[in-house]
Amino acid sequence: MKLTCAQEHLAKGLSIVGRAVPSRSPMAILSNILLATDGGRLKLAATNLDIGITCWIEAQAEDEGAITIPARLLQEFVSSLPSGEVALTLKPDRLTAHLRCGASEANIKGVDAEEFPPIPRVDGQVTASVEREALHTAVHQVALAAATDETRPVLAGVLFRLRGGKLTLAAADGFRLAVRTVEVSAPVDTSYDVIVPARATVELARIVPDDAEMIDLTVTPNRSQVLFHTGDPATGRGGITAIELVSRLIEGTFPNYEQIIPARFATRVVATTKDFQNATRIASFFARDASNIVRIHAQPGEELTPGKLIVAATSADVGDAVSGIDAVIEGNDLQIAFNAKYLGDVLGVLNTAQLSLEMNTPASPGVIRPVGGDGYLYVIMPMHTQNAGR
Amino acid sequence: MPLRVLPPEVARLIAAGEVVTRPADVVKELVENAIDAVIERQAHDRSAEPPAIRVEIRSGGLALIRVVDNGSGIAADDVELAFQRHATSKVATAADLDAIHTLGFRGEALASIGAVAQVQILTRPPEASAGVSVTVEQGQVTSRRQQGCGAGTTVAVRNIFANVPARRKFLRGQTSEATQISQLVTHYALAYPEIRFVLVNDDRATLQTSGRGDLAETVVDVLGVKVAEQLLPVADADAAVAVSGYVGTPELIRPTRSGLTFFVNRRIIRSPMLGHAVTDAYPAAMLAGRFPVAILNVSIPAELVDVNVHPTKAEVRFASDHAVYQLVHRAVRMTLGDRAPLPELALTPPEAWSDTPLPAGPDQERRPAVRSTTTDPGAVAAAQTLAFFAPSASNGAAGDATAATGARERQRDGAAEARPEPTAIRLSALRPVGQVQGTYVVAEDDAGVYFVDQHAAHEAILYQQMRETRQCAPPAICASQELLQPQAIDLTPRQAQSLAGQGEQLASLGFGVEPFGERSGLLRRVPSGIRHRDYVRTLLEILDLLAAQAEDPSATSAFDQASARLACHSAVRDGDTLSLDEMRELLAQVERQPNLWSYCPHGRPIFLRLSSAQLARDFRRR
Repeated sequence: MKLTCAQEHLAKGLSIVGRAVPSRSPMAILSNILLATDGGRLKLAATNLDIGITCWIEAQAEDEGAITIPARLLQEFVSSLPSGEVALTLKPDRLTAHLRCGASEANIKGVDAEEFPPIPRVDGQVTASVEREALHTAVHQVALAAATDETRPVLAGVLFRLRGGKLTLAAADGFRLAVRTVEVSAPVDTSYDVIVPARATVELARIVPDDAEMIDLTVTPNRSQVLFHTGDPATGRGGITAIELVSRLIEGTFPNYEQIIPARFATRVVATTKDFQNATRIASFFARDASNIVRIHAQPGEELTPGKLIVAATSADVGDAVSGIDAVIEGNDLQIAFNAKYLGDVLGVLNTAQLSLEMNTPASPGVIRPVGGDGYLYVIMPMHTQNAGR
Repeated sequence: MPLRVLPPEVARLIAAGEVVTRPADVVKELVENAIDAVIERQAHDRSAEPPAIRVEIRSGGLALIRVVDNGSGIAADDVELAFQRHATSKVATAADLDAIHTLGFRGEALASIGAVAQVQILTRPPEASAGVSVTVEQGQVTSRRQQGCGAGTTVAVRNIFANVPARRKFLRGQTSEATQISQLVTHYALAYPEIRFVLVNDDRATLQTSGRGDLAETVVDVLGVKVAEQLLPVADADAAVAVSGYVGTPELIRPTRSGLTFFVNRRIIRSPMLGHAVTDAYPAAMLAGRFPVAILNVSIPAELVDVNVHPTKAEVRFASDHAVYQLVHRAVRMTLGDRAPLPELALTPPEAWSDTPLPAGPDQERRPAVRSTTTDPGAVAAAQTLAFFAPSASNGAAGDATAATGARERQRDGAAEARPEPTAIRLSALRPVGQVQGTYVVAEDDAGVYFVDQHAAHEAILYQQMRETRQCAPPAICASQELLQPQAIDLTPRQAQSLAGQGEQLASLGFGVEPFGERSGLLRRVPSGIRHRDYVRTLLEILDLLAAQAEDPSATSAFDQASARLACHSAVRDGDTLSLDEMRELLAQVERQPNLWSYCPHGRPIFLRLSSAQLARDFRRR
């Protein structure tokens, strides 16, 4: 194995696949990164057995070969090198990598590439191509509603539902639901429901570079693995020619979330996202000691006075806080209580200036949507206290 | 069969049967007499030798019981009288019975014992020049002679129940009898730290107290350092009644009530009421059918308590059970809740160092074993020693004097040992350092390093919050969070029944659940803050608890247990990685809880402390 590549490309590639390296694992080999020549490029790969990330970077390979090297040491070494060409060769024992760049060189002991667990191959037809920007935002807005524990495994995942040329992402942890629909370019005449572990979607959003255009999804015929692919070997930019993330899929059926979404409302609030977010943040400081309860009071305006949205929290120990923000309120006067975290989560991911909050009763769900935005909605279940609604 | 009046020897045996059923009863009667005698002598003559009582038994007391005191003795002419029923020097008129300050008063002890065994008395009042020895068998005096002896009384009881085979048959083994006796003497040793007690069992001294009047020291003598270290001093009083003594930390739990020892005016008694007063002060879930350890004395004016209600005086009747319960409960509660010391963490140097002898320090420091929990342990320990079990004013001048001397000595000792580190919780501004093993938060303040069990701490906070929510008026319900979709839950018939009957209790805990068919329920709301993964399991456990309470209404509050269960399921888990902010928040919450237990509802400690001084010592910086 003998090749050269740019230090920036190698450093970037390592930071991408490094996301899949487990911080602690009983399998020592998993804390290594696989380096292999692949058709004149350098392939980097890492896996924690739940997900595997593979990344190809431009390189001039003179000799084929492969090795695995401890991820952390390699990352630290490469990122400290000056920019320039890095020459990588394998020592005759095939277990030591020699790296040289500028004035520095290093020998790093590795493990035979044969021992590295194979990252599952996902063959088959691409089932959907989505704009990077759209998928990135959708994951960002949806994954936060997934459950963080594994009691009901399907709830720890994000539903990817492909129907009639649209891809819908949905996640719910039992107390809230987030749904986002994105357009699929080059619609394929197929439909499916698969559940991707939330962590895999978050990693996907993190590793796909800003300048990527499309992300392709491929699902194995037996619905056990999903592959996200971006980039093109021929036209790769920034030295990263292609990135792939393979994840296992969660078995099971996602709850029928559509029936949870209320069809009508008795009170609708339209408020400035930033104002509502600030008011919620202020209340959350006081809600911390009071079961995280934030009380919301929607007061419709009169002929001459605008509507008000009151956001308040009270802690017996700490004190209380109230913020009143201007809002357009249709329908009934209503008081309701929400968990400050669930409210804060969604307010942090809305990317429109205004939002709408639709409600019916203090005991039924509230629905938050971006105003003038696209197919996003967030259903949040209310809380109850002795004082709620009074 | 014609009726007839029983001959005197039969009547004697029957009467004796009420007082003396086993060797331990004999020891009890004799030791009580001995205590009365030594106290009486001290009261008349302060310069007398320090009071001491020696108990000797052989074969579990069946072969021999000998009780030796250096008390006031019996005048030579009165000795035979002592063996007659209702012969006593302690009560003269009926009015005296309303204000009994001595342990004995009925004049039945010696008569009863004399009826069932061979009894030899050797006695000499301090002022008499010679002693007298009298032997009684089956109620008859068989020998009498003058004999030289020390001041005081020696009673030797041999061949107990030789003439009552039926009684003998029902005795348990010698070991069991010896254990009973040992426990009895232990209790009296604790009640009278100013009397030096020695117990000799088959020629082996099994118990020995210093008699210096210092209870803390006596506790170490009789219970050992290990137990003593886990005892917390109790002291409280209202206008009439005072309670003092020690209770065990919630770590010190026994499967039976055997660790609960109560004295009323230093008379050992059985009292379910006092047992409840103590047990109820501990978190119910922690005990879970087990019992704490307590050694408590209730000092109460003689007119507010009737000790003459039980043949062996094992029970007393209070004028107001309620007032006594309240006081004891409050005292124990305060001790546990506010001032339980943090368990100290001892560092053990690695093995390799152990060939270098450690400085003598640690061993000496072991000695003051019972930790004080106040800011100035030296002074307050002394004060508590004075207050503790101090004889009531009417009969205890002598006791006071010895106790005071002991206390002063201790105070000096304490100063010399230089361990004035308050171990009370004073958690101002704990700084989180990090988390170890995914389980413990490490924090520090100026006084030392703390290991905080993250799960236990969080659990205790939640439990406390739930109790407070429950206690406010009108009782608030716990906040609850609506579920996105109602969840059907399978129930056992028992759970279904308790769901049908106890919906209100569940609602007050934050569960919204309704019956849904015969054997299932529909869960709509869960307590806020509960971990997602656990809410169904928690609900089922609570339904079981409520069912158990419905079947046995006398069981301890199912609500407390349910709260504890809920707190446990809502708290962070072992293995949950906490950010520094989360740790800070956890510690801040602990600091904000004024009445936080140092123990979680399961009784495990929340904090371990490694004091700066201990660190410095272990690193030999000083």
